[in-house]
Amino acid sequence: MVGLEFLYVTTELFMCFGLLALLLLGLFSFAAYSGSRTGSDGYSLSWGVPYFVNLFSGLVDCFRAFLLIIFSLSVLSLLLVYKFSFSMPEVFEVLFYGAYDLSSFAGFGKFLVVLTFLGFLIILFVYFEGGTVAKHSSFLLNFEAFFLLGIVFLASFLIVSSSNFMVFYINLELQTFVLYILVSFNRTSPKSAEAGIHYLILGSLSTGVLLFGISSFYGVTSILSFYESSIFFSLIDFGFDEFQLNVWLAALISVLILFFAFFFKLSMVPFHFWTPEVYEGAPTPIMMLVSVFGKFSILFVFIKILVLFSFAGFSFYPMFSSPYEFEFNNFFMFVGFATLFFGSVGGLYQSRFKRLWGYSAVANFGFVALALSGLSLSAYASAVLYLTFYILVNFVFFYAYSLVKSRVNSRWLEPLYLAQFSYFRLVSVVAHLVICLILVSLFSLPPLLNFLGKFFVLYTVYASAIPFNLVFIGLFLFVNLISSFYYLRLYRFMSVEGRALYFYNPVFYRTPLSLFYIPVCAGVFFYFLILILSNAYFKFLIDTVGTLLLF
Amino acid sequence: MMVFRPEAVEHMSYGLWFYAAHQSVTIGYFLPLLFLIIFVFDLDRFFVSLWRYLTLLCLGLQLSIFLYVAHLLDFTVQTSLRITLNVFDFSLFTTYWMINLDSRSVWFFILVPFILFLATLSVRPSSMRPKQLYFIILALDFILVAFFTSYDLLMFYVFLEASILPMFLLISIWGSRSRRSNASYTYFFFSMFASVLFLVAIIVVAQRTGTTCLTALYEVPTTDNIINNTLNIRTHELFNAFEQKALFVCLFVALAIKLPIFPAHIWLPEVHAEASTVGSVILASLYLKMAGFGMFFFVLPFFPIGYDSFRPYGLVLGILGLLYCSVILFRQIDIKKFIAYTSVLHMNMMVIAIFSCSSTGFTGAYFSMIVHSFTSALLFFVAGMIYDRYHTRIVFYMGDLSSRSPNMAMILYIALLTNLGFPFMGMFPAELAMVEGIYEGTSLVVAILSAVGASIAAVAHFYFLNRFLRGTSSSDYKHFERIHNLKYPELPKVENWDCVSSEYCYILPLIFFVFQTNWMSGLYFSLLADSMNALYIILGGF
Repeated sequence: MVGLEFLYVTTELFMCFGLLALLLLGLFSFAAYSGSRTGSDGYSLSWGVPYFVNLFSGLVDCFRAFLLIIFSLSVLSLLLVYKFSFSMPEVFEVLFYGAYDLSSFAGFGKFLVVLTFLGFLIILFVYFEGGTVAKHSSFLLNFEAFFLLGIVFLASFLIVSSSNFMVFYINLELQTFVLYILVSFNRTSPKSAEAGIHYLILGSLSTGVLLFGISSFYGVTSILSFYESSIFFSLIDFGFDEFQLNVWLAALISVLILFFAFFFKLSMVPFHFWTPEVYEGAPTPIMMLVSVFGKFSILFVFIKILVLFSFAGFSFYPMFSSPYEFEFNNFFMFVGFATLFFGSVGGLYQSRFKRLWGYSAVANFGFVALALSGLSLSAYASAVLYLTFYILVNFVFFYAYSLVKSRVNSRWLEPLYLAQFSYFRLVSVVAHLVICLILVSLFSLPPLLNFLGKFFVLYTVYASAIPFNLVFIGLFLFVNLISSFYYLRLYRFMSVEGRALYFYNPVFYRTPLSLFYIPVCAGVFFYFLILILSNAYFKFLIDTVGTLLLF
Repeated sequence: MMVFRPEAVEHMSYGLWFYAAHQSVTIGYFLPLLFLIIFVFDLDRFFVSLWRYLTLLCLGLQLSIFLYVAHLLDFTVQTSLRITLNVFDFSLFTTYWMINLDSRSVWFFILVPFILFLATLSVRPSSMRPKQLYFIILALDFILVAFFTSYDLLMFYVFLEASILPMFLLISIWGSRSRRSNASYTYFFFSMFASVLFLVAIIVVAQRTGTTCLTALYEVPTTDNIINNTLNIRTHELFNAFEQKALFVCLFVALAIKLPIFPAHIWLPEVHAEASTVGSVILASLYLKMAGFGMFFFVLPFFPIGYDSFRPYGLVLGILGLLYCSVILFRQIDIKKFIAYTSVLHMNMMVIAIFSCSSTGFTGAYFSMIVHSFTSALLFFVAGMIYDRYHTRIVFYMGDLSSRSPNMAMILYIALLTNLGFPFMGMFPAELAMVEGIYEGTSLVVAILSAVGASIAAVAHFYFLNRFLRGTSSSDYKHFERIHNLKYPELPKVENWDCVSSEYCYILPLIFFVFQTNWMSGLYFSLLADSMNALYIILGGF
């Protein structure tokens, strides 16, 4: 119904207005308590209380309320998204004259955004629990943190459900600006500021490239909507007409240029240089945010574009094939191989953990690029599957990491170097074992998750019609071995080397048994659950990606 | 000629609550995992040697269960027990978890807990991180038993790769020198590289045939009373000649690196030199056999055209490896490297026998795998005992072994004799069968070359033995000290230079089996003959 379209976007509207309201609330309530924010007196983490608290006898804490709102909103969104998307997969609608996409694929993306955000919030609260302002824990003292995280959440929702290049660009910018700020949030660290500026400058360049691609595509075809572009590509028929060939070539080139912006965001090879720098400077949970949120909402749009442009309509000449011998089928495969190669080789020399994690992200997204090169629904489904596994692995790793931090509490020193991971076992054996499990999973040892993801990707790519796909599969697997070296090195530091007593003996300063073991155990449980249900999940993903064809 | 078509294939499929009579196999299969759960808790303070006794209990129970099962099943008639586990409808890709026991895999099924039991006995109270060591032994127990009873490409691959990490830990934690980190990385990357090649082949086969399960790839279940004299391997129909050759090379090279075959054998001497006794024993007696087992189950039967084309190259590689390793034995100064090169030698001879298309050769090769497990375990245990006394592996120090510890000298003597294929010991019928098979399947030249290689190795064994037992140590020391202008350190002070009763516990069973495999070689040959004959027929040997 045309008039009641806003009912479908209640979540986004609620977030939008709620965030604005909370922004105002935060501004007016913190003004009176600026003294405790600087933390020079070394007080432990405390929530700012609004000036009108006396009216409610000290019971109101608006930021705890904010948290409650975020959580309940997430749950509500889950229900709404489920109700409007999963239950009616055959419904296709583009709302607001083409700005908002209401397909099942977008619904699934939103579902994943919500789950990921909830998981991320757990890390946030465990990581920044306790401690003083001077020791990295001032993040949650500021209300801006919540505001910005809320915007990231909102922007991810909007990106995933964008059906228009212009809307996509706007929402993407919304997300990226906020990520620039969050990366440089740690005001006392020059590295953090450097990372933020690095990200800003390179990200703005990539946005420029994106706009160039969009505008040239618009100039060629005067189409901004994804679905209409699909119709465009399906109506092209070269035949004896050279004009259509030129139009097709121009459209293809502009789309490829705009793909370079996607490669930047997904840290694929010629544009991956920002990844280690930004991962190093950002505070650890923000690093996770960048690596997860900054990537998978964009991957969803990427898959949407690929599916719609390549074979949604019945086209004689889908986007990645041509009447000439020169074909673009290998394009993504080559990019993926280069990404994997540079991610693997680049990480070999790193001795600092966060840079290593950056190169590991680059290498993992090489496989995603490989999956995108298979011109079939199952290949794109395997890309999403691999991404889900990557996110889950990331989460479980950082649950254990933040568990250790919370147990050591005020005497936490961030493990900058790989060898410093060896004392995790003294703090918490569970965290140590979980991190060892994740590392073992990362060097694609079967039957664990990363191996399974790679197996699905390679299996679907072998089935695609790309020439020399078997050679590429072999090359991918061999170069993957190179990346397994640095995981193995970290694993060796953790389990083989002697227990380094690092600056202090954390055993004596351990807090009593905490609730923060619960997310770790739940994470491991979900890890094995998804391992067992991976088949069913893969089939579900194929169906979900297939709903894009239904329009 | 009988074909290996299991007439009595007992298929069973059940969930977590078993009701079948052969539940003992499943109990024995998952027993290590149950015991591993106890390892989670910090029960050390109650009883210091708890973990050792738990491991021994688990392995003993497992061994007795498996012996009972092997006794129940009559392998003279070609039976095969297959149990499918449906745990929560688990399926990894298209796989079902299937336990397969037939006349070929039953030997390793029993061998794994046996060797691991002896390895646990060899762990001394003074070793570091005992709990972790016993944990690894039990985990390996599960992985290896699951490997040898797997009947599915992907499960095979899973357990093959899963075995790499425990060995990595065994080398890097319990090795003795600083070079152990190099050795552990070498082992890890050689093995992973080989596994990756295997994975490529699996992907291709799985895509083309649509399944990874060997029941579909390997055998066709008969529908009625017509006896099917030809084995229908579906891979025949689905892959053309070039693809068969390429995939055969892929699969063969993957397992050959782990076997190890001549050009890629570098990792084995290095790993053996750096690992502790337990690691060396498990590596030599079980890991190398994993690769050989894989050859017989997966590499050979799938691609007969590939086998045919690759035969000359395989023979050349085997002969080169045999001759090279037999000659290089004369230059070894490190005991464990010496034994490692003899392992490489035996595996290369096995490869020559595998590529000689004859059923005697195949049977000899498989039998030599079984015997070599016992002999190499024995040798490495003895080397470990020597290392405990002398704290060095260099041979120059050990000339007085026969005067200090005569019993150990005798055991070493027996071990080296059996390793070279001396009559009355198990290796002799194995080598005899292999050489006969080689002659039968290939020409006289190849047979002579392999026999010559074995002879040179035998001479090297005697030379080595001579230096050990009859060398005059003090004159050697003075000679080398004079030449190299250095002073050798004094020998350490040890309570007993000779074997202690706790060490006889794990040595004597192996000596028994070394002789038993010779007395009862007929048993092994008769049980293996039919399956190897079937392999011979598949490969077009007749």
